[in-house]
Amino acid sequence: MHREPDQAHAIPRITRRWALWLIAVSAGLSLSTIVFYSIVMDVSQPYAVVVKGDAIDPTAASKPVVRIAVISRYPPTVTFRGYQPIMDYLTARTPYRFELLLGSDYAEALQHLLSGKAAAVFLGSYLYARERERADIIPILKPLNEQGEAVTRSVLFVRSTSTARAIGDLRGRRLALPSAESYSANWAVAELLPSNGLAEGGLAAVQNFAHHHTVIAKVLNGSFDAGITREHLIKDLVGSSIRVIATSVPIPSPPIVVRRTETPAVIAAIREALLEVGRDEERRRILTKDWDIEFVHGFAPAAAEDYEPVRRWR
Amino acid sequence: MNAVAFAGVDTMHGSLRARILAFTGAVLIILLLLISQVLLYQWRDVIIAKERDAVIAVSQTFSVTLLDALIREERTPAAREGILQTSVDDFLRSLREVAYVSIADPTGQLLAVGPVLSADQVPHGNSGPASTEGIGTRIYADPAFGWVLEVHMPLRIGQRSWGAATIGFNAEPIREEVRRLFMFLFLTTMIVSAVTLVVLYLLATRLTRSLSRLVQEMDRVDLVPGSDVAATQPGDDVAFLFHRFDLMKRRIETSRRQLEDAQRQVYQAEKLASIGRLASGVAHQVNNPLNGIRSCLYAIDKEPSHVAQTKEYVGLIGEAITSIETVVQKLLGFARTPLATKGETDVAVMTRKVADLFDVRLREKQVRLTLDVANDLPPAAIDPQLFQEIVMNLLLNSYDAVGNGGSVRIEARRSDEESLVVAVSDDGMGIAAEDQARIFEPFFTTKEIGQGTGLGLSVCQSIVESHGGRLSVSSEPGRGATFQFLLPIERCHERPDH
Repeated sequence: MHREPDQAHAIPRITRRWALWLIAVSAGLSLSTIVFYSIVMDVSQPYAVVVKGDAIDPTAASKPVVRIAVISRYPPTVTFRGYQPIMDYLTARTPYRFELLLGSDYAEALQHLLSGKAAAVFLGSYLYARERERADIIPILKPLNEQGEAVTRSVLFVRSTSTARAIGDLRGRRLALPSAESYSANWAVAELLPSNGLAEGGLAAVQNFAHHHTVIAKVLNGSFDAGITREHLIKDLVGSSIRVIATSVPIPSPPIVVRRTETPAVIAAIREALLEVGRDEERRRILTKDWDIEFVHGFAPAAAEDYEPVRRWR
Repeated sequence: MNAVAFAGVDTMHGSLRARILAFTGAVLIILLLLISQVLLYQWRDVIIAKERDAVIAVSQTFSVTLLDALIREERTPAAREGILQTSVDDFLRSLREVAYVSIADPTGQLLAVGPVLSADQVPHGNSGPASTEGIGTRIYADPAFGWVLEVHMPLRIGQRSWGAATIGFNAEPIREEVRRLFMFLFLTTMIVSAVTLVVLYLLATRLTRSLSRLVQEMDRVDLVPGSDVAATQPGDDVAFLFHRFDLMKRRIETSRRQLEDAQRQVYQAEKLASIGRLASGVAHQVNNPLNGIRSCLYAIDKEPSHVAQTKEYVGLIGEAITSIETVVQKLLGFARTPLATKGETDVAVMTRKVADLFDVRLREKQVRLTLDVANDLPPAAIDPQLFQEIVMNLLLNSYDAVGNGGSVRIEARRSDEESLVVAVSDDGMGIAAEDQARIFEPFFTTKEIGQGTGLGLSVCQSIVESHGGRLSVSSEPGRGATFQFLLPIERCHERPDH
């Protein structure tokens, strides 16, 4: 006999079907969520260049190397950042590959030139004026300032919060100087301090530092009350954190010097390439954007006579 | 009836609501999941880019220190491996996020590394391509350090290169942020989906409730003229449907009345046509008694004083008139339009009545009629007049089909517990196969013009089917034809206690 199922206890078919669907969909969603989670959490990314740098010049390696020395007026890294672009420019514009040769002090840079390790040197005005008679060296170029003049100045500065308003106010205070081989240091010691009665024991401390940047830092952090440096180096700080209280007379800007016996082609290559910098204003601005601020306005030819005032003053 | 209808309403209600919930909900949830995925991927890219920018900034700052150390070591060879390694160690100590650092010269030779895990272990982090043209990054799973965001930093100033630094940063913070983002979006999607489903459920319930009301009203409505559907609130969509349904019901009622009128007219026309075809036989049946009456009247007129003869002849005249009355009554009974379709029919009796009407014509054509009707047949659930009309039509067709000396057979028997079967067969010319398919169509006839209306079989089929029966034909051309129809047994007869 046919027996009907117990309807009271049987799950309705439609409910069972929907329950199966619900279970299947839930299982599918759960599985896909787990898979998606594992995919999302895999954050691996292949190697990719995200900040493009300047391309390496493939032709440079085959060119003959010419080294140019630099006096240690700035820390090595700062020197490389400001001078290496000039080397790259010269390499690109001449048949030579130019490399920087840093001296640990002003004298070593000059020694690199005199020994022939360097074909040229970025020398200081004072050092050149002093050594021109002893060494067979000649200046070929000197940088222009913002006004297009091949001159520079040294300045005596204090923090803007300092009470010193004139050089006489520095009595009994500490003075930071750059290298003893620099014009700035010698201007202070030989002219500025004596003429203001501070030559002998007038100051609490006078100390030379290897780099101009160190002098500026020492004054800004309060280690010294005043400092001497080149005018263009503190241009952006004047009025905000630094106040200038004395300025030197204009002197010829620091020359690029070569040995008189240096290969004329090398001298000509350096001279021509650097003189060309200032001929087109727009091009100059783009070209020199990474150069040391002293050279961004281009160069002018230099002659030994230009430094006669410095020599006489010395 | 209502219980069944309401059960259907509930099923429809649940099914429709479930479908709305299932399909709309599925589409919405899938859309939400897709949007979440897109958001997650884009957000993850932003997190990675932000972290990458941060570690690049740190690396660039550190590269200044490294360059300074490299330049110092270059200028003072005695300090080689001292300044650079110290810088690396200091950097590792100062930043816990840094996993490792390795410094290589332009030829790929390692200058400084940290930390050193073991003496023979090749320092990590130098497996990436040594590109010197830009800062490169990658993220990978390191077996020793876990997930690492590695920065490859060329140590260059202009065209001067001192090599490159490879710095590995812990990338777990990225994964932790992505994990938190995933959980946030997942929970948000779940909550929004749940809220959406609840809103959908409420909307679907409201919609299906209105529809259920309409269906319930429709189930309650009988197609009896004058019965209107229940009034609903004006302005409701369902009220509009109710109104349209009411109009449709009225149109159906009008059509049904017109159809009944048309059917009645068709029945009557066919009946009159049948009467016309019977007329010769009927005339003969009437004419014979009339001749007898005329003879009796002639004899009485000749001998009016012959009382005994006159009495005898008057009796004969009375019998003749009775005979005529019987014929006329039969004819009138057939011609009368049926007023109702319900009733019960004694199949044996009604079959014989029809046969009697045909008796004269069959004898004229020397057609042999055989009746094989069981005497114990239960009554058929059909009006006797309609049954008579069906048999009459089928018998007329057989009569027309057979030639002189042919035979016609009427058989009536019980088919099963529920029905009777009546078959009218002949040995006439039969019906062509192609005509059998169309033989029940109205106005289809194989007879000559004026001999048939083409409505007889169509009407028969309508009557049989309207009583729940079935009319069919089987025939082979040249070997006769059999028309057979099933009729339900009148249930009152089967259940005397009803």
